[in-house]
Amino acid sequence: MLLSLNSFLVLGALLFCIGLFGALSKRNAISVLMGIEIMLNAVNITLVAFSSAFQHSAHGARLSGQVFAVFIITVAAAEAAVALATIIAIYRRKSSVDVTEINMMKW
Amino acid sequence: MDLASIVFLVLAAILVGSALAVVTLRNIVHAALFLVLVFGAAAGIYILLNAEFIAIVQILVYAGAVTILILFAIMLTQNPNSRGSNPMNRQALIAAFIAAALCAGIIFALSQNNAISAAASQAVTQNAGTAVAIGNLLYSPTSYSYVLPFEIATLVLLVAIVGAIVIGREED
Amino acid sequence: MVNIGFQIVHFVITILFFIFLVATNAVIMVYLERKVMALMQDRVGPKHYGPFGSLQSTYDVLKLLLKEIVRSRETDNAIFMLAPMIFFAPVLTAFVMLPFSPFMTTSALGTGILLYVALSSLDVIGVFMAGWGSNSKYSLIGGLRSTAQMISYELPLLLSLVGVVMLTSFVSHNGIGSISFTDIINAQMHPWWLWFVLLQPLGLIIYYTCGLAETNRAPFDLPEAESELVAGYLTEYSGMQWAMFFLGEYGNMLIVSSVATALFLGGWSGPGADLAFWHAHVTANPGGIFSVADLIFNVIAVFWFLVKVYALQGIFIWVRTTLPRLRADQLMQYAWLILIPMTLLNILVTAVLLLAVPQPYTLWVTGGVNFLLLIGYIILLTRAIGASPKGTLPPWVEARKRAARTGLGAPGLPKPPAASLPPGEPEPAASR
Repeated sequence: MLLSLNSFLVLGALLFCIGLFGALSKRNAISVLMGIEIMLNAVNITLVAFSSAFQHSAHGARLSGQVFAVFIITVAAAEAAVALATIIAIYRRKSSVDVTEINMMKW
Repeated sequence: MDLASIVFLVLAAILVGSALAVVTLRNIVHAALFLVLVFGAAAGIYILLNAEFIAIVQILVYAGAVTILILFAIMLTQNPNSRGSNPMNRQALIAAFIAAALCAGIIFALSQNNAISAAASQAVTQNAGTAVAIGNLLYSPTSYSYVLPFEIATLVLLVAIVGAIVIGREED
Repeated sequence: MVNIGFQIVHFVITILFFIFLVATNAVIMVYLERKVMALMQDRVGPKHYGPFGSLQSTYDVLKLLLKEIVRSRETDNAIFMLAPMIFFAPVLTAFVMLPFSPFMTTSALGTGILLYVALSSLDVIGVFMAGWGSNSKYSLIGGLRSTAQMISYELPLLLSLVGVVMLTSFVSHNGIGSISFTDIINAQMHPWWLWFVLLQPLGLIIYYTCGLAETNRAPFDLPEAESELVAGYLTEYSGMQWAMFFLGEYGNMLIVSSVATALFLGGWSGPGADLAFWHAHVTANPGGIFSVADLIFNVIAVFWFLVKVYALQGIFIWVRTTLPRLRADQLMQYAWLILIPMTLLNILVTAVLLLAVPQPYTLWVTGGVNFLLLIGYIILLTRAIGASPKGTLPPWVEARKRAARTGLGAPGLPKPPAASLPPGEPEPAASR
């Protein structure tokens, strides 16, 4: 059974780990952000898959997974805007977006 | 094997392949463009799960807006040498190990847990994920709905807009 | 279980239909554009090939098909080659949600407006790729300008449609609105002339303005401003690749006009487009899927739809010959300072009126107030256009002054190290 819940969850897990790898292993701050976006997408896929699989449950909760996905998309958009603004502000100070060089708050 | 399964396999392959391309490519503009492909394929997966509203919102917000933001940020923080603009750091090997271990762990847990595999045995079936139903669940004033979280999310967006403008503009 | 073979045939026929529709429309529009512009500018226009020069654009297409595709050397090859296709694909896809008549719809999609906006936001990626992949200054500047312009005008475009959606929720029986095109057209059917343009004229004007900007048409065509930027992101393209961008642009015009027709001008409604009437009067039924009454109705409905669409596309040409091109900063200010506040005000006023005014007068009051808003918008616009530029400085002078004041570089440029400035060189702002 290919279209079962489990295959979507495996897909989500794979995607999440790829995103995690990207977020951990990159120097460019924008690239780290892209990894985080992939992770958020993986979570969305799992949520939508759950809402699709448990559609026979109680009252309004049927589509809750999709509503959560909407919220995650909203927060991800906000996060991307703030993060990119921060990156550009840092670039203006240091003319670099290398996360290993941004150590102003480290001692 | 029916059409939906084939579509799922193709979409999953595109999704994983382009996600790998995003994290491994050396040219950051190419990586950002592959990110569009990730978002598009994820929208395809949502359509397969009968969540057409989420799919369209995904294209609108992620592929249309977030990617453009990222591309603009890349343009504004340009490196003279775009081919090597996306290097790995020193922890790349450890990161790969951690990610692989986490992935193996999740998949192992999925294969072990009886509760989930029992629920998974029922195929993902038709679901009326229409815009009206989601709208009712999001902000219906009378029935069971997420109207308070929705309002909070709008506030989060407002704060993010103002914050992004304040952070991003040049200081006078 | 639906037969997969039938689905595939259906799919192929639909795609071919849309491709031919876009291509034919582009040929017709290019010819009309040249002829109408010539008429307005007191010239003759194309006249050599075919009656009244009507085969001119066909010859142009043949020429483009036969032209060599030129590529400069240091381009980013994959991106350069893919850009025209990625620009064209969303345009073609967007036709999926358009209903040309009750019988000629491809899908009963419940989320038509959202899909349209999502697809029109995907165009931006093609434009960006063209600008980036060409490895040329003009292309990059044009591409970035176009990207900024398209995402700025996306917002008022979406917001201007909200008023229509609120009206459908008022008109419908159960109080639930709809964002599907078929439902919105049906909501404008009782009586058949109660089109939403009568209730939301401001929405139509703002939507149309944003449509002009989305399609990069004059007066918002500064991404491809021929006299300043060569041809913007199109500079390095030639032959069929270039034609692909133009097909996409004309397809976009067709979509913008069709969406405006469906949402504001009642879609296929018009005198004679009444299915019940034809069913009552034409009873001949030779069998098959369609009855004769259906067929007559369908022809009339498509006729009215196309009449409205081409009238709107004619306004595209008219605007192009009439208005001068905007400056880049004026363009942004127009979107963010005039259009978006206007659309938000429109949403607020419409919502309050629909809730507050008692039943028999609601639509009258809403329409009347919206016309007043439209007049206010026009007055605002004339004030903004007629405002004296005295005392304002060009943007680059402002940027230099600001840079000199703060000691930081211009936005996006790294700050030069202080030691590298040659001594004795005056500060840039000191010359003013």
